[in-house]
Amino acid sequence: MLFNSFEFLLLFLPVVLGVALLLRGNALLFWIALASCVFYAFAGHSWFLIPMGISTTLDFWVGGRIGASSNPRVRRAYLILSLTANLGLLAYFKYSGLIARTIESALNVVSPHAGNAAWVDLFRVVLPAGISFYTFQTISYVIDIYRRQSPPERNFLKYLSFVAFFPHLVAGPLTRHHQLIPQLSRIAERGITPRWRAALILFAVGLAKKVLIADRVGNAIDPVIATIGSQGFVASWLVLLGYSVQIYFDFSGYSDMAIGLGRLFAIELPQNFNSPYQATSPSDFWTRWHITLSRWLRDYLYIPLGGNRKGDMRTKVNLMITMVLGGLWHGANWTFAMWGLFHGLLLWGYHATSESWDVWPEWWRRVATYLLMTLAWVFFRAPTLSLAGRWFGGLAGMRGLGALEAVSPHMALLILAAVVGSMTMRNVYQRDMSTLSLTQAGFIGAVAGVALVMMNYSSKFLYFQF
Amino acid sequence: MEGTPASVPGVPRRSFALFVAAVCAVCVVTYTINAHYDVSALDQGALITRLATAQTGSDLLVWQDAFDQRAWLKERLLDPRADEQLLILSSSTLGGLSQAMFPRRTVLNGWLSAPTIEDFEASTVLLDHAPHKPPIVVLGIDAWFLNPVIDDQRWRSLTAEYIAYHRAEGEGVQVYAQRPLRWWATFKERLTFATLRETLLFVRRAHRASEPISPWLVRATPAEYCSRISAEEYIRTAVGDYVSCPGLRNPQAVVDSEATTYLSLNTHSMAEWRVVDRSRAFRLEAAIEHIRNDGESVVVVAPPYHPVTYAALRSNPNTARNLDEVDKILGEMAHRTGAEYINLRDPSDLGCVAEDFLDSHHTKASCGRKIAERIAAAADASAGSRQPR
Repeated sequence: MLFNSFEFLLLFLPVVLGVALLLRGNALLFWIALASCVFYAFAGHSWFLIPMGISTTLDFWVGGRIGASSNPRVRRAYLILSLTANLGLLAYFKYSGLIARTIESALNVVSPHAGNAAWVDLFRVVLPAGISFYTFQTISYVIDIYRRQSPPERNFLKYLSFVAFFPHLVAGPLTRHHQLIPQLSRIAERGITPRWRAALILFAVGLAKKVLIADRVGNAIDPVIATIGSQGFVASWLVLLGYSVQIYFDFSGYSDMAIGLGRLFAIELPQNFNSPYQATSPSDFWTRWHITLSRWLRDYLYIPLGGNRKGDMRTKVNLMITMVLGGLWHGANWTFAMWGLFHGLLLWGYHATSESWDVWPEWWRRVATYLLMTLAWVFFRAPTLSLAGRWFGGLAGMRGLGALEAVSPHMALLILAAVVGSMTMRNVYQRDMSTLSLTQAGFIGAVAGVALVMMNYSSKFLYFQF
Repeated sequence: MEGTPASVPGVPRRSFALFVAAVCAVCVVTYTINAHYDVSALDQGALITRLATAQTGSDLLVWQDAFDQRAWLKERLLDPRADEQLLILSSSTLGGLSQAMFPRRTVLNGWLSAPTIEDFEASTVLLDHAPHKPPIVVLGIDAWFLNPVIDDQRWRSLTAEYIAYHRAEGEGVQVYAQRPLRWWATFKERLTFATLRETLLFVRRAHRASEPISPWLVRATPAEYCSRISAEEYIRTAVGDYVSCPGLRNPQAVVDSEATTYLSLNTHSMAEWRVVDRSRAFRLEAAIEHIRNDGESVVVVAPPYHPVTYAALRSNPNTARNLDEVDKILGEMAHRTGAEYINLRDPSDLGCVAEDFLDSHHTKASCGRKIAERIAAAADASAGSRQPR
């Protein structure tokens, strides 16, 4: 079930919210957890609930054990158990495909049909939607208890609601327990008072971003990307700009919808994007793009590795490790590792030259940062490293100028307008909604209405696969 | 952001009211226009039934869009005057097979737009209730029929028959959910921009051609009617075959281009076809059993592709594997049920060349005649096995 579907908007959401408004206490938490599980089952396969159930139950239990013990060795043992189980599940579901492909290729080198062995099929598994998100959430919960930064949650229904709360379950924002559990406690105690206006306007903005921009652009550029290895300079750049638009509007649109849905349940989910294409340096970009993941990686990977406390060289190595693993978090493909490495190098380069970089005019830094970030998307979108190389070849003009015919002129205009808009306009979180005029409200409503009736053209969110 | 409810600025009440009104206005206008013109033919059953009843051998049923083919088939099968010896149930890939191609048998071509397994199940109920049961039933099974990605809701025109089929199969209350689901599918169809766009295009075409906005009967031969129109229309003869007007067909270069891009443009979702839907195959076998138990012969036909398209499908490891699996399933199914199976997927088996195709998967009469010959031969072969099983 997608947020951008009639089934969700006209059936699931009204029923879930309508019943939730009548409930309090554990009944409300139970209802939220149940609805989230139903939502998750419809997001793919009902068996998706099994790994989520294992991860949730184990970490609830482990959290309790760690909290109850004062023996450092026992606490550490439970922590290792949790990390092993969670990362093991993630590795099996997420990286077994890469393992299977590698083994199959290796076997086929030895013998042409050896790769067809039945056991290889054991590693061909469907990736449960959202596993990367909820695994990180539960890991941070256990680590925080281990660090004695927060107490274990005693109420399993509340904990399950925190993990599975359907607005953020499948593609974030990656919400920490200290952000969500207190709010769940509040609504369990006082009931839900929806913030209709703030919620629905934000949801509408997110829906329009997804349906009217991301999907339209995606439909136009996908066929060109399929032949990117033979495209010239113009088409290579245009589809790259198009992809920068698609992924931003797709993911930030989803996040807006998720936050809007949270507000309907009187839950404020963390902001995930803050006009990332207005960043003025690679470092600034990571404070604006997928903010919740960046902070998670900082708090649970970069800083534990030593952060910037162990000398210049170690800082750079830590940065590289964090960015490469952050890249691999997105998928089992060396292209994602390269994407992370590329960003790591950009951050490294920026830190080395920040004094001279920061004196340039802001507009120049903004454009330069956008172009660097956009070049990195080549690794993110290309299915293989060799195709990424060919894409870079097209961007460098190695196959000539080429023609614009691959993308229609009005689509090219939409892409360019979206790029300029995302680099210059204030985002919905920066606007004072209390001054929203009648004209603006009518316009947003009309656009949202168009997005609603165009939902059947819509596709899954890009971040569902991560 | 550690957001709290208090940090969220409010939207003025009047602005919010206008926002909601604008959303609703777009939806209401879209729904109203779509429901009024009904280009999706969701509520056309009564009209098509009336027209099908009135249609004589010299009438063509025509419309600018695809009218409710299920209602037409239902009326034809339940017509007490029916006396067909061979019934074709398929998609449009066999829709061009006409009476002239079957000199020794009377034919009813019951092709449907985008048929799904539900259509075949519902059609068995129509056959159960038919005053005259055609002794030979030809089922055209396209390659994409067993692609689970392919889904279409047009079968809901036969919801009552679908429910009857599953009730007879002993299924429980979930079958009754099909009625509200039909309403829901109709509602969604009418609330979509895709339908609105088709509606507006339809209205513009109808206005320019000064044609009715509903399907209608024309007393003319196909050749006469083709000479009167300037754009392709849906034309169905009294025996059911569709008419493709020679003067309005695409040039060969366009046909070949469509054939070449069939897979890359993901036509029929072939590019994203991962696995063969065995549950659909199981249901198809049950439907064939149902027909066979009534004593009718069944011929399962895999319709041909344009040679270029077929070569592209064979050269893609994924689709080649799926095609092989589908053909194996259909062959085994035919063997188990006593049906005949003729695999015509490869056009070279028929001797059909690129010039025999209207696009990547629809044949002209020149190839259609060869298909009909193979069907007739298979029907002859199965004549001896027409005993109830």
